[in-house]
Amino acid sequence: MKKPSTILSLSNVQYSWPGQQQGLLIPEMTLDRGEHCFIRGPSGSGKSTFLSLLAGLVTPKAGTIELLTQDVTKQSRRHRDRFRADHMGIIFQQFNLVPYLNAIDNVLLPCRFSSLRRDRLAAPAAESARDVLEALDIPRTHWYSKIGELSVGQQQRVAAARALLGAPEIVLADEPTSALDENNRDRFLNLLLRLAEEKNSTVLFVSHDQNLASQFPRNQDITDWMEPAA
Amino acid sequence: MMIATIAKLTLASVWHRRKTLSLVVLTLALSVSLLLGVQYLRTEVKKSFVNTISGTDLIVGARSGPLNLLLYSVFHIGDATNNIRWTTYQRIESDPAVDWAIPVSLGDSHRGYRVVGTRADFFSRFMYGSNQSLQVSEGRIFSGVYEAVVGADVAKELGYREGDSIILAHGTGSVSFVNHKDKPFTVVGTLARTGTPVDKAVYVSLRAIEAIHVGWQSGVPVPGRTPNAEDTLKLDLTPHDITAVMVGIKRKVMTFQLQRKLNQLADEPLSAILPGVALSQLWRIMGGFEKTLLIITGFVVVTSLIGMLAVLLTAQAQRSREMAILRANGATPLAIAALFGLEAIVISIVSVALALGFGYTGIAFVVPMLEGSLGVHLGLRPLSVDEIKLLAAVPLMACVISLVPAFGAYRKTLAEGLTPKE
Repeated sequence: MKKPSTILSLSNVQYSWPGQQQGLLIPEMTLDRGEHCFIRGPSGSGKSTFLSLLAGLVTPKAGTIELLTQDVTKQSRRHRDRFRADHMGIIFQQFNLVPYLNAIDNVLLPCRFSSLRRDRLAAPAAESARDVLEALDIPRTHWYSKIGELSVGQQQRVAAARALLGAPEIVLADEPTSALDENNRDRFLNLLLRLAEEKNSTVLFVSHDQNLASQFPRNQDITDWMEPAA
Repeated sequence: MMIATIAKLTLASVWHRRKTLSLVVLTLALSVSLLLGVQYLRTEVKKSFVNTISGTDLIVGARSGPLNLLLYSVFHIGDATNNIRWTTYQRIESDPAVDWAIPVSLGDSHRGYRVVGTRADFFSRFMYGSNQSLQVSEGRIFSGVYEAVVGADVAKELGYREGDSIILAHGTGSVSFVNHKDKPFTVVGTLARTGTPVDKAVYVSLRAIEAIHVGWQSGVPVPGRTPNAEDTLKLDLTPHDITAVMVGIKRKVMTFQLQRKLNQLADEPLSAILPGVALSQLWRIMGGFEKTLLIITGFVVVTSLIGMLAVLLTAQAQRSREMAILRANGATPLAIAALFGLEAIVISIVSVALALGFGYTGIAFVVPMLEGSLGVHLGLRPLSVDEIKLLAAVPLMACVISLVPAFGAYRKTLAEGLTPKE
């Protein structure tokens, strides 16, 4: 019986890229709620694949991936889609936003696809979206303007706001700061972690930037999982 | 909720790319309006054609094929093979089944327009379209021998007004070498436009036809035997023969019986035809062309739809980032497929709506032009069931076609997950 606070638990997960000898082998990894984790690795080391495994978009050759005590490897694809919509917020490296929606509508997107996340909102959806944009320092003048008018830093913060709206248990961030300068990077990270704390979400943050590691209680080097070992 | 979200996203996405998509919409709208226009005019022209003559139950002429009789008696194309004796006409008129019988005498012309010799009651009996009577737009119907009523086109083309003097020519060619210049006619009236061959004819009395041919033999005047206009009036101008008879029947059920009776008349070989039937036959001969036109237009629409598909598929490659974002935010592959499918449907519906606008505007412009140049009577009317079906077929076809981008988006979404391959 696992502790109810365990949010993520991997054991003996094996994955190899199609047509390649190389792959990932994760013997054991558990993460408790609120235990934000920094996953470091050079580009091409399989960071995105690792996140895809967690998100249930690729299935491992062997092993179990338990999220919130559910083994995602045994679920149907539909079930995994549903699970991801309900319990995960995802932030990409850049170009996170749907170009034809304004900031508010972008932030509301997950709540439109997941009734669970919509139900978790404390206030009406639009109000919650404004609150979270406010919390992430997006100026009011940009809430209803076109995405193209936002700076890259603002765009990434809108993406963070979106990932956190409706308090998903897990936030997967795939190099979200690599397109930002140092100031914007630190600001982004601080706001993300502070808000995640507030929403009781656990952040899995993938980056090649070792400087960020100190901000996280947990650190993991992805090269430890590479197979054959580099 | 989900459907509303997808619909909202589709509309926002279409609006975002409106510049590119408007060209697709325009192409599709133009081809659909072409289809609509062809179908509309096809039925209207047919209706106008089949209603060239109405209210007349039988047309009787010398024995010949029904189409030939129809062509020379109604359309003034070609010539009669033979005439009908006046006594035979009198027999027809006195038949108990006959309500009215109007004699028509053809064979002369005026500057290329046919001259029709008839009785004054022709103008009240002859009907066209949906039982519309002829109207005199200016002046009056002829009463004297040397008086003529001209059709709308004749009046317009030759600039005739009341009181103008005209000379009839012998024969029906546009250039005639023998004319009746010793007996000029006075235009006393002009008929309102009908969109039928009536517009291109000159009407005189039967007595006038007789008068201008007094002393003629074998198509030429015999020298010394043609009295002048004044003296001719003193003669008995009862016609000896006529070309055709328009017959109205008292009880419509008697039509076929009378037709058979006239066709089998022993005294003189006659042909009696039902104008509606003959007109439909004639239309069928010419109808192949309009069907071909409709089919070609159909292909134009299909081509436009394929063009739309090409644009949508090209856009799909550019939208893989967008698909990844939507998927990361909880959209299922099915929802993304629906997004792409719906887009095709939205485009086609907008196109059809535009096509309706284009079509009606176009028809409103084209109808007066066609009436002027072709002499067909066309009206603006609401869409027929066939046309609505044709229009509905476009979004339906778009629905089917939309499966292609939808399926493509579905597969791409599954394959690429969250990392779009550019």
